[in-house]
Amino acid sequence: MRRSLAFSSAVAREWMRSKTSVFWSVAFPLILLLVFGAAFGDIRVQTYPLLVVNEDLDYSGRPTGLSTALVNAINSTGIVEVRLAESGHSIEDVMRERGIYRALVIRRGFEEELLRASVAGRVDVLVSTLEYIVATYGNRTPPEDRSRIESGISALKTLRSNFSSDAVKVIYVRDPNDQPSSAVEGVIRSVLQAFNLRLLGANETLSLSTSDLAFRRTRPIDLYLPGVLTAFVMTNGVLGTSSALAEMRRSRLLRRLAITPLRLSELLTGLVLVQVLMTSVLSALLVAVGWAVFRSSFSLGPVAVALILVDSLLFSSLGLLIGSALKEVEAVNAASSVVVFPMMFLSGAFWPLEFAPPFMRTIASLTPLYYFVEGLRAAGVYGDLGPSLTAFSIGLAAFPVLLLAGSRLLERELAE
Amino acid sequence: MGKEGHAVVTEGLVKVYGNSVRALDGVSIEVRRGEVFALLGPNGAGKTTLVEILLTLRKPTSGRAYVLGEDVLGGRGRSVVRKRVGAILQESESFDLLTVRETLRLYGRLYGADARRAEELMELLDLREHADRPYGKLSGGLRRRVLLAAALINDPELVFLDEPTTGLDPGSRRDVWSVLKRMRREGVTVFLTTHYMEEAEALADRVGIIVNGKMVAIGSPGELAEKYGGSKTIRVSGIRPEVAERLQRELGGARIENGELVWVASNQTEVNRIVQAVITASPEAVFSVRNPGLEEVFLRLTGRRITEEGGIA
Repeated sequence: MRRSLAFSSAVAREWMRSKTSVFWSVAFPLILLLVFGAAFGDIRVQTYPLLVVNEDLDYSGRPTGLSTALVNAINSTGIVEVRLAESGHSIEDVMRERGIYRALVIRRGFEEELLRASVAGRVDVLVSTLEYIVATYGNRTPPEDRSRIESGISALKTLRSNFSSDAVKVIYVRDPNDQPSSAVEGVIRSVLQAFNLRLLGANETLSLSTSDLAFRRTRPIDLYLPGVLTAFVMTNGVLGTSSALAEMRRSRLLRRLAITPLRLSELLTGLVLVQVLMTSVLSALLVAVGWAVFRSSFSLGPVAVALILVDSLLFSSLGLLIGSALKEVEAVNAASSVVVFPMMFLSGAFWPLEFAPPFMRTIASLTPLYYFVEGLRAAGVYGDLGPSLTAFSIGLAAFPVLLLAGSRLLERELAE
Repeated sequence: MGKEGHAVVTEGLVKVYGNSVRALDGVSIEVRRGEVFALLGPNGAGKTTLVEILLTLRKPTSGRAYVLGEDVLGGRGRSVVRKRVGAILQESESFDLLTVRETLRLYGRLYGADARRAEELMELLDLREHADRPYGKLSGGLRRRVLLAAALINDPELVFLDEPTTGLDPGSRRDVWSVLKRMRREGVTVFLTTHYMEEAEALADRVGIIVNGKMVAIGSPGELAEKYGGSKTIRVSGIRPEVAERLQRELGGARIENGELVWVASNQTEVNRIVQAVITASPEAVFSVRNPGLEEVFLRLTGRRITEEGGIA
């Protein structure tokens, strides 16, 4: 153990003095966390701008009451942000100029037509209601009362014929390539629906009740941080160990050390110890920065710490195997990169797999990193230990096998 | 003297790489304790393979090898090599970013040596002023000195130096030589491989010449020169012209170069005859007898020369 510590202390010093190693192993993950954290760290509800051209003005040139009410109703949804545009210009030019590719045009006469249409609507409802009563209860109504009702219906129909039954139209102009335009259209339709009901004086007979039950405030940064941490523990483990071994072979330091009292097992333990040390430093830094800058709620509990250590052990051992199996520095680096980078991006470490197509989710589930990402998120964010059990099982089962295989290959190489 | 009495013994050592490359072909040598033994040969002759077998880094195809009395194929042999032997491997380096002091302390800790040993060796090898410089920033000569210090950190009984001066400029090479001469004075057994004739001549008590995996000659430089070197050159100056003319006439075969009489003698008997005749004719004469060097020995044994880069010409 004394020799192993002496060796790992030398490797650690060498690593700490190499600006390139420190940059890629520690600074780069931190930069990535800061950049992505700033971009996705605290996503609020997205609002979409909507140009509104209100041509329905009163005699003093101000927007009419009903058109203003409609605009305010749309704006108050919290999803659409109304940007008023002056009338009299080509709507296409205004959209292009302001870079907003969706617009609502309220034509002149909107209020007047709406009032008329609303009277027609209310009369229709009234007539329809009276006709329903006569049809249902007419037999039980005294003949003189029934006659009065029928003459009333007739008077209402005469009144109704003075009002147009055409729906009042507002125009929604959009660019079909503009993705949010459909969402905005849905919002506008909902508002118009509510407007229609209000104008008829009707109440909602069927409504949706939303209940917020916040178990824990989870934000994207809370899920992103363990993803970055797990991914970089993996890359540092594989690339750091394999390249250290390849470099020691290239400089024939490996053979030189093989004829000292340092045993091969001590040398390998030393390399893994350095990775565990670097992993601890990296984890502490990422979690500290995540908390200090983004107030991430990810916490390093005992299970999370143990999972990170197993992550480090597993992938350092994989690095040892690659570094032992291949002889040239270039071949080792290429093979490590081929293993590391696809796994990093396919495992869901950097984005949630819920939004990925099913085949991507299948591929992710084939990578061991996926289970560590899921395990660490569950343990560090939700305090759920279930998913980490799979990661622990994979790591603890594979780590000794990889280490043993790597050590056998090295043993053979050092006594050909 | 048995195996225990020798630092290194090999018996019919054969190493075949793959199915056909015969790197060593029945090598048998004995290296005595306390001597500097130089294994001289061109690149690819099998020098490094032999050293790596003796250091337990390779297994021989057949034959036996003993280091400090222990069979290198056994567990005790491996243990002896790891504890009581020092080495510089061919083209080996150390951690670039560790300082000289840190490098020596690392090796010291691996051997369980006292931290003062690193300081002693830095003093001994004139490394003190470079103690805090990173290994990777040192010149080639200084790096070899650091590796040499690392090889001595466990106070070894036997040191293997595989091409320790290859690639160094003449000044750095001489620096390393002076350290090796000091080691010889201190009684450390040194097993040195080299393709430099003058290195073997300057440092070795005995030289083994290896070509294509076979030992072609072993002996002290003098013995080898005597046995395989061929002619010796005798130069005589400080005699009167008429005496010179008479000696030239009587002994025959002499030529005059830069005012000196020069004979080429094929053996020691002939050298003795010429020297005796000159002393009789002119007691005040000044002599120089140049024995053939290892270069001539190698040439006569193989019909070829070793180039500066270690190739064969």
